[in-house]
Amino acid sequence: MATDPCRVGGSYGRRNAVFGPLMLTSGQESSAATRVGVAGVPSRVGSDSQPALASMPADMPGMDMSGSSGGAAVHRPLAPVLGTFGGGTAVVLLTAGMMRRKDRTADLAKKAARAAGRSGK
Amino acid sequence: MSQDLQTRPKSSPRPDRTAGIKTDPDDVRFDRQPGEPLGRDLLKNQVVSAVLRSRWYPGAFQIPIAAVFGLVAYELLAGPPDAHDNAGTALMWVLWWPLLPLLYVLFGRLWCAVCPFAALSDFVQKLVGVNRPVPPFLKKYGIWIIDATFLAITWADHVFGIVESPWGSGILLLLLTSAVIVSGAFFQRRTFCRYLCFLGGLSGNYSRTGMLALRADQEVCATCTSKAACYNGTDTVAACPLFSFPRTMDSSANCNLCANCIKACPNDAITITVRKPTKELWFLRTPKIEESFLAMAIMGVVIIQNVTMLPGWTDALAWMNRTTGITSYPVIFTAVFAVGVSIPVALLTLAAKVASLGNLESTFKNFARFGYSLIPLDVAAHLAHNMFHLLAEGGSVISTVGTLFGGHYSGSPALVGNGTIQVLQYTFLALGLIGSLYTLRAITHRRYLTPARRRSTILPFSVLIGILTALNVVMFMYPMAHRM
Repeated sequence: MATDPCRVGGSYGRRNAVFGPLMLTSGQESSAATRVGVAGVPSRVGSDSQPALASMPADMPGMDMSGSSGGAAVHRPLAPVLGTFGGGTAVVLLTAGMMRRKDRTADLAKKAARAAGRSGK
Repeated sequence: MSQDLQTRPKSSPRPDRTAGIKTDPDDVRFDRQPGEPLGRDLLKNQVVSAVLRSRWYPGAFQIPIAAVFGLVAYELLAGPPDAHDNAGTALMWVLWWPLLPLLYVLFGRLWCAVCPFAALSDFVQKLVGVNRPVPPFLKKYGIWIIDATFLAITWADHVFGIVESPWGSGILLLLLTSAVIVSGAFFQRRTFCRYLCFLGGLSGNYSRTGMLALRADQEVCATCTSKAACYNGTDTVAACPLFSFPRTMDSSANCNLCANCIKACPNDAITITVRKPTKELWFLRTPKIEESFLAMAIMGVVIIQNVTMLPGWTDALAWMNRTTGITSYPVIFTAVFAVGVSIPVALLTLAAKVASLGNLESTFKNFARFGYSLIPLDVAAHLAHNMFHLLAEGGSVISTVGTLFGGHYSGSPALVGNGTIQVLQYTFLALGLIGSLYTLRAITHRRYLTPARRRSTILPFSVLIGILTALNVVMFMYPMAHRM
C-alpha cells in the first residue's frame, strides 16, 4: 500500500485500462495521454518517466512500455551511495562493537569485585 | 473535580467512573466476558509440531528468502534502469507486495519470521549487539512513528516515484537496511520490527484478521516455574523477538510465529489454533487509538492509490494546475494526499461522535474501539487493489526473471482476464464488507448490553462502512489508468 506497483514501468492504463463499463478504446487512451502531455501536468520529482506517448508500442513483453522512461538516461550514483551505506554501516558496527566490549569489561570488573568481596568476608 | 463533572447535570445518565468503581453494568459485564476461545491445537499434529520445534525453523526459510532478497537488491541497484526490464522491481512490487496482505490473512505475521531484515537484525545483534533496552519513547510512540513512516513512504513514492524506479526502490531498501542494522546493533531483540517497521504496523493490524493464533494455556502457565522462558528464552532458544509474553497475549498483532516460545516452554503450554478470519477482532478488549488511526490511514492510502490510477486523475491534476496556478506536483499531491488520508479519519471521527451521543462513551473511545471494525474492509480493499497488480501484471515476473536466467517470455503480462480480476476484486470487497459489519456487531454486542446503546453504536459505524465500501466499489468500476 505504501507504494503502488501499478506504476511499474509506467505500465498502467494503456493496455490494462479495460476495467468496468467505462472501457476506453485505444484511441481515447492515446488521446487522454496526449492531452495530459499538452496540459503540462506537473511530473514527479526525480521521476524517470516521461509523459505517455500514443506512438509507444503496447505489445512489449512483460509490461506496457507506454509512459516509461523510453531510454531516458537515469542517473544512478552507485559508488557514492554504496560508499555512504558501507561507511555508515562500518561506523555503526564499530561503535556497537566497542560499546559491547566496554560493557563486558565493566561486567567482568563487577563480577570480580563481587567475588573479591565475598572472599574477603 | 474536573470541569466536565462540574458542568454535567445531575440527571446525566453518564456513568460515574471517578471513584474507580464501575457502576455501569455494561462495564462490569464486559470485564467478566471470556476472551477469544481457542480452537483445535495444530501442534497436536506431529508434522506441524516437528517443523516448528525443529532447530532449522525458521532459518531454513530465511536462507532462500534472503538469497532472493539479495538478488532483488542487486537488480534494483545495479540491474536494468527501466522498471520494465528489472527483475527486482517485478519481484518486489508485482509479486511480493501484492501477496503480503493475503499472507497476513492466511498465516498472520508469519512473513515477519522469515523476513530477511529480521535475519539481518539477528545477525548484527550476534556480531556486535549492545542489547540496550528499548527506549521508552519508542514503546510509547512506536505505533505513531509507524503511522507517520507509512504515510511518508506512500507520499514519497508518489512524489519521487519509488516503485517505477528500480533505483528508488533500491535506495528505500538501503535505508531500511541501515535502520535495521542500527537497531540490531544497539537495541534488544527485534526492536525495529516491533516498534519501527512500517510494514510491521500494517502486518500487526492485518494479522488480527489472520487465521492462525498462537496462545498459551493459562491453566498450565499458572503453575509454571520457569521464569517466563517463553518470553526470556533459554540457553539454547532465543527470547521472543517481538517482546510478546504468550501467557498474557490476546492478540496476534505482535506474534510472528517464530516458534521460539514453543521451543522454550518446558510445559508444552503453547498452542497454535486455526480460527475464522477476523475472529480476534470480535473479542477486542483493549483498543488503541493509534491502531484505529492506522486502519483509517490505510483506508485513505487505498483510496489515494485508486484515485491516482483512475483516468480522471490526470485531468484533475491539470484542472488544479489551471485553477491554482501551482505547477509543483509535490505541492498538489501533498494537498490531495492530506485530504485523501483525512477523509476516512474524519468520517470515523464523525461516526464516533454520533455514536457517543447514544452509547454514552466518549468520541475518543468510540474512535479507538470501532476503528478496528474497519480492518476487515481495509484488508479487503488492499487485496482487491493488489490483485490487479498480481494478476494483470504478474507476467512481468516471469518475463524479467526469465530474462535474467537467459529465457525469453513474450506473452501478455496479464495472468488472467480483466473480468476475472474484477470478479475477484468485488468478491474481496463483499467479504470485507461482511467481515467489517460482523466485527462491528460482535464488538458492540460484547461491549453493550442495552439494545439502545447497541443500536446507536451500530447505526453510524454501519453507515461509515457502507460509504467506504461504496467508494471502493465505484473506484474499481472505472478503468485504472496511469496518471502520466
